[in-house]
Amino acid sequence: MAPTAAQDEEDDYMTMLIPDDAVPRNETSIQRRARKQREAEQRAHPKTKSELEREARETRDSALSSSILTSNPDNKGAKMMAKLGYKTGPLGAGGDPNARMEPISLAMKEDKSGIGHISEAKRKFREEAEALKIDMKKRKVNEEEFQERVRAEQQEKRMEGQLWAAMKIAEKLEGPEESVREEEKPGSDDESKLRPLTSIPVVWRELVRRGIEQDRQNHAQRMMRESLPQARLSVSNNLDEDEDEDDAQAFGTVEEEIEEEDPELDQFNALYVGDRLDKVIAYLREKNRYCFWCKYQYPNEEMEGCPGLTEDEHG
Amino acid sequence: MADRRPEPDGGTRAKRQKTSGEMDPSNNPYLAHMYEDGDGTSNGYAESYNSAYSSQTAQHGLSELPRHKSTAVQAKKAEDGPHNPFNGQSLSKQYFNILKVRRNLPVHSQRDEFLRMYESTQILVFVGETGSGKTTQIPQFVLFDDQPHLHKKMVACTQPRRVAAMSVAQRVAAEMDVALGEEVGYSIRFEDKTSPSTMLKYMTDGMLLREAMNDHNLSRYSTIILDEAHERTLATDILMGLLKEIAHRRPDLKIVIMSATLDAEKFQTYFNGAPLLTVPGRTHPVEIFYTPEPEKDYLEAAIRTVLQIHATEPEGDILLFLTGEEEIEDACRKIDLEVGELVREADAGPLEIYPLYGTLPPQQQQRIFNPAPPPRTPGGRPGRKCVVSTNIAETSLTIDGIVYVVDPGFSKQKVYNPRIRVESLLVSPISKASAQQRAGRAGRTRPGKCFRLYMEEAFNKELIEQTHPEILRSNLSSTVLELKKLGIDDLVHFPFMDPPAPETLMRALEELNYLVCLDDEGELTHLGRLASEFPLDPALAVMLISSPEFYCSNEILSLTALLSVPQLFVRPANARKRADEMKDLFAHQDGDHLTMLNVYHAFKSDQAQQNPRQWCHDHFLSYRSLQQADNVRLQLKRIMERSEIELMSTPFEDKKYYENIRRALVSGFFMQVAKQDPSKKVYTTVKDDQSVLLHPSCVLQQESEWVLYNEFVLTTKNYIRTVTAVKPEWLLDISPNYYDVQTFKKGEIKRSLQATVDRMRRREAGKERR
Repeated sequence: MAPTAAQDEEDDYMTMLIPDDAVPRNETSIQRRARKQREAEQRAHPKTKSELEREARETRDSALSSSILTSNPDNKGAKMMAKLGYKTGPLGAGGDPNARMEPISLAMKEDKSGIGHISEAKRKFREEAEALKIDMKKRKVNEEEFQERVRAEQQEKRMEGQLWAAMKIAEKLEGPEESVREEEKPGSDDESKLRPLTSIPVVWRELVRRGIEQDRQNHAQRMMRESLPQARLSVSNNLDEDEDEDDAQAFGTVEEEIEEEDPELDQFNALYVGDRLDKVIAYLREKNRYCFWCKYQYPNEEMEGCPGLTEDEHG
Repeated sequence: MADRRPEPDGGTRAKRQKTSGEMDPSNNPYLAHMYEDGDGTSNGYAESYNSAYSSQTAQHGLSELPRHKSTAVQAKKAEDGPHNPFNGQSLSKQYFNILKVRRNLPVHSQRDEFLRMYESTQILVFVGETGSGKTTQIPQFVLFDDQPHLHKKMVACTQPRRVAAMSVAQRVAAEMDVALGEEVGYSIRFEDKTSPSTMLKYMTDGMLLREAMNDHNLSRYSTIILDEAHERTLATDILMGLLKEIAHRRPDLKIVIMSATLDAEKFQTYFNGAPLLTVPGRTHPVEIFYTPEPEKDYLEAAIRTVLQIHATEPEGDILLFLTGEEEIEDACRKIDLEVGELVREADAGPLEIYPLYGTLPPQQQQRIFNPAPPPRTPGGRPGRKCVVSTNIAETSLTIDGIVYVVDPGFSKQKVYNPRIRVESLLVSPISKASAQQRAGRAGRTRPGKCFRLYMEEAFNKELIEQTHPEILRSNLSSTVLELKKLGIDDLVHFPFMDPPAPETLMRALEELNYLVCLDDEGELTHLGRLASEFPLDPALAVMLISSPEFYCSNEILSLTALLSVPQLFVRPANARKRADEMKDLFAHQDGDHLTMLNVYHAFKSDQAQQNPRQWCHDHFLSYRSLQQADNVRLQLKRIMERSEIELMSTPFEDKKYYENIRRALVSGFFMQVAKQDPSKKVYTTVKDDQSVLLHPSCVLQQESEWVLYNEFVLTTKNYIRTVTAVKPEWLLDISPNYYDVQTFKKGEIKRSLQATVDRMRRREAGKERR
């Protein structure tokens, strides 16, 4: 094995030629087999005519596009030019702003297309490409918007969940003292005994309101279920309208209560869900020394150990 | 299309209006060399002629004309005879016949104006459309006023093309009633037809440049006329730069720049505000039509348009511009096929189709001047001719009778790129100026139409204003050598009208340095000085000069001549296989150079020389090219003898005979070498690392790892053409500077060269041990 020799030949390997002296002196049989196979593969896959033509064209075009003045300062001709007083810029007596710096380009015409045919084809192609690009852009914009929307929706959903969770914590922390609802049987008929909804801090009032609503609905459904036979009877027996009215009254009162005006809550609910969440969280910290993100109620005002207000700060 | 042929109106049925005078090609100055028998055969007086007599009589003939103060009236009187004002001979009847025609030329009406301007300034820009008579008349106007022969000077008029220089000289000799080569002569590369009595010399711009190399002030001339300056050939551009400087040193020298196009401002600005004289040509309006949409296939569209014109347009000949021989022959065939149908189905008139391109033999080129065919039946639809031409019909050849021009907008142009050192003929869009010139061809006889096979928008947006001058499209190594020989040291700030890219100069300097024509300081070396004596590319000149070192200067001389002429091998489309078989008779396994030499030796054999024309025809060889090569060889041999370069050969029996020739090739062409890739499929050019293929015309029979090539050409693929096998040892041996292995980029070529160096060293060491 002769690693240095192999390194020396790295350049040559890049040019895809297998130099005679690239063979390491102490080649193992496995290495030899691998090398032979590699060589055989190269022999077995000689470049096709079109590959060779393309390569020839590429080397030609690349040579044609690079100045020999700048690419090879050691060139004899360049040195002689310098001795003749050439520095930079065009030749001639000077004063001609249009004097030539670049040799005339070689344009190979490969077909019989008339003057303007290629540029016309190019123009059409360009126009089509342009149209396609605009279309793609449009589609891309839509796509981005969609993704953005989906992302926003997911984000909102998540925050909604967090908001409810935070409100529940607030209820749990404050509820035993402040809420009387727990003591009442849910669905109890006597709702007037409840504390007024407005006495509950606005940040978690919605939770209570929903709870009540839910209770009412549950109660109404139960009522309905209980009254069903009767209703069926009344239908069949041509029950008078009073009883219907009662039923209606029963539901109606629920509606009435819920729809009770609460501008403070409405205002709060009109806020963006993220803002509401922030407010609840801030409320929890302030009132209860509780950090929603740490999920911990700190013993003192300093809330030592909590990294900050936001979820990001909690990593 | 064919069925909706409109009824030809009365006008088109009318008799053809062209007079025989207009159609007679013998009056075409560009074709004068083809009518040698008619003109200027009588030079009986030439023997008794001497310069003293000439000066006496001439003084007599021009005594009324004060130099640089003469008028058109005075000149006219002298022209009217009865004696030739330049040699005292009595003037012939033919002279007066031609004089009548001459006085009808557009330039004639402005002779006085021209003289006044010519007399009052040193440099004058003259614009005259083709057909205005400027090329033949202006130099004569100058002669009457400048009277160079009385001051031991000459008037030079340059032409971009050899054929034009020859033909125009012949024509003007006839107009002046003198023998060609006497008072009026010409000088082109490898041929000088002048004498001590020559006062007006037509010459290629390249020849004037060569003369300047040995006579930096061009002191032999009192007036220099650069004709067809709008063509912006390499030599004309260099001459303009030189003349700008010579004008300062020689206030007595007068310079006229003649151009056929109206963009004369550039010349005026270049020559510091030289005055301009414009002579309108005799042209008719030309209506231009564009296509409503770009053409997918211009060749197919061109053929369609020609047929449509033939089926629907009134009488008048058609000129179609295409790019090259193959395309032109293809189009001619297709038009011919379709026209038959048109004649049968739509009762179209007969259509005669003539191809026209540079390599076409002169007899065939001349056919384009045949009159259009007559109707098939008396009173039937008129016939017409259709000339399908390269851009030689754009400016250099004028065909009367053309009313319709079809212009697809392409031409073949030489382009050189220093980055990969390739010089190739590429099909490129023409310039707006070219397009206008082409359209103008339709208005020579009467109002015409030009059908451009592209949209007007494409004309405006895609065509460049002017064709790039040759200096921007050429390898400059020859030019740099010439400039050095002209005493121009500051090549960087030479006042080029359009400066070439710096990289082009850099490559030229580099090449000349490797050829040891210039030293590292950019100064001419002894070899460089010697090489500049030869009207050849530096690589060829160096090879020729070095050839005695390889004991084969005779053979290299032949080969150099063969490489300086057009294609030897003829390969007609209808007999490709036979042509290839014939070529195989001469093929040498080591490559094309040796094959060419075999051809030349066979051509010079007694057997072939019995009837060389037939022999060439039988063997699918170009008689013209071989003849030309023979002439070039003779001229080069003279220069070699003058420069004391020994002529010698290795005995043919010697086994090194061919090897010596191949080694000698390396001495000039070591920068044009490619090595085969290990894959054996392609070659890679040395130093530029371009992947190339052997051109299908190559005869190389055995696999050769290293080859030397004469040309790197681009089509859709990269090809090397005219290829001979060489050995890496020779490269290292003959050009150690270029093949300094240290300077090579890492890769296959470097590795292979290094291996060769090691091998050579081991062999050397082995020898020493023994």
